[in-house]
Amino acid sequence: METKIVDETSIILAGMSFYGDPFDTSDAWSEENQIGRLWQRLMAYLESHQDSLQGDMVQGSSYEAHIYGPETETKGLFEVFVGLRIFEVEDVPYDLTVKVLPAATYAVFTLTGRAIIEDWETEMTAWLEQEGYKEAYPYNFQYYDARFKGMDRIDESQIDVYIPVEITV
Amino acid sequence: MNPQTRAISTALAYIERHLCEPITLENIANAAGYSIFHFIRTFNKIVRHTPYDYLVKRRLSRASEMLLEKDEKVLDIALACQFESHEGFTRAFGRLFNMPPTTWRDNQHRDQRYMMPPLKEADLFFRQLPDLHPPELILLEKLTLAGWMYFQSPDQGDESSLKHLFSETLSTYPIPGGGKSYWEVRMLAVPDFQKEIRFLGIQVTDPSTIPDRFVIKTIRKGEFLRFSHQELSKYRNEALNFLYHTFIPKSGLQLGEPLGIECHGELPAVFLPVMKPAE
Repeated sequence: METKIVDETSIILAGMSFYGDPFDTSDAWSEENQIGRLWQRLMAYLESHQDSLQGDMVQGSSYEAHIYGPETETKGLFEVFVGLRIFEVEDVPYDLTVKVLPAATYAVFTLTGRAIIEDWETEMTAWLEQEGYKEAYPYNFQYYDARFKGMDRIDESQIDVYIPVEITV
Repeated sequence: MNPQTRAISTALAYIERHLCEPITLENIANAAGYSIFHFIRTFNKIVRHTPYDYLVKRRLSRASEMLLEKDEKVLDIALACQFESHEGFTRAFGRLFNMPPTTWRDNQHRDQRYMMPPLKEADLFFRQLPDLHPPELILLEKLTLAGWMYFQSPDQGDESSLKHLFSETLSTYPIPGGGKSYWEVRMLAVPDFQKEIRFLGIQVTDPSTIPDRFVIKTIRKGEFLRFSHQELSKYRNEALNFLYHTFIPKSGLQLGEPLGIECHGELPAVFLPVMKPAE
């Protein structure tokens, strides 16, 4: 797992969100979870609205943010936001929502192959502790670009996970 | 057992040890050795419940036992099972048991269709069998069976000697037009008895031709959830746990008459009476 520390300005995402336990399957049978469904909804939307999207919407890369809150620890509920990076909040289509992540210092972990679907959070938390960092905000996001080939080609894929950090005093 | 199943099994054992303590999902994830995100993902995949839903259902089921076994006030039982108020407990209890806690206590009926037992390794194994197919909602035509009625303790497993005797009796006193598959009907609404009433028989077309060694039982036409699996007799309890406590509550269906029907044919199947929710 490659690691680096970077500073990022505020990141504005336009996309769609879900709040709850995203792995709860409504019919107790389907393997498809709410995160997969969220991505499907977003992709279908983008495909059918190619013409109306903002010119500066960054195409070819996408983000999946997990935003934790008080109900995460007690009930396992949290927000999942999937979207694309934009630079202006104005003129975002009414059927997309906007998420603004603050300017922050991030620990960036590059995951390759099956590490993408394994328990990377435990490993990252241990790394942060060892290097003298702690989480600055209760969220993280995954960054997907051309290196990600799809869940069916996970062995050939790569993603980056960003965790906002600050130095432990 | 694969490492994921082992981790979830550890989490289930942790939940049982601390069921009546103020534990959080983070505590349970730590016990499994996972981050909370990975724990939620893995738990859902293997148990087919969200961990929070499982924890609440187990607490309510423990509370349902305490209501039957202890004289404590409902509020005290609610607090002991980590519910914050009488109202919150009564609402949650009503959603799972379809009745208020006081009615449950008055009925004194340990209805296993509502009381979710702690899931064990065998349950996890069953839920991951690769050849499981979803249960189907079907309209079962009126069923006429000829056979024997008997009493049995719910935990008394081996009925093979009875089945053997039934089979021998059938060879001596054959039923004209009788089916080949054995049907077992469990009548579950008998709160005054420690034993279940059961019926073992075969399907018949003409009740007038049945030898007097046997009695007749009819099952009304109705909607049933049918679940079949080649190894149903081996995983019977695990299948019932899955149907009663996971599949039916999530499907939006409601339990119908207190019956459980099993057909021991070429492809063994279980039939549970259900009702679609009122629109």
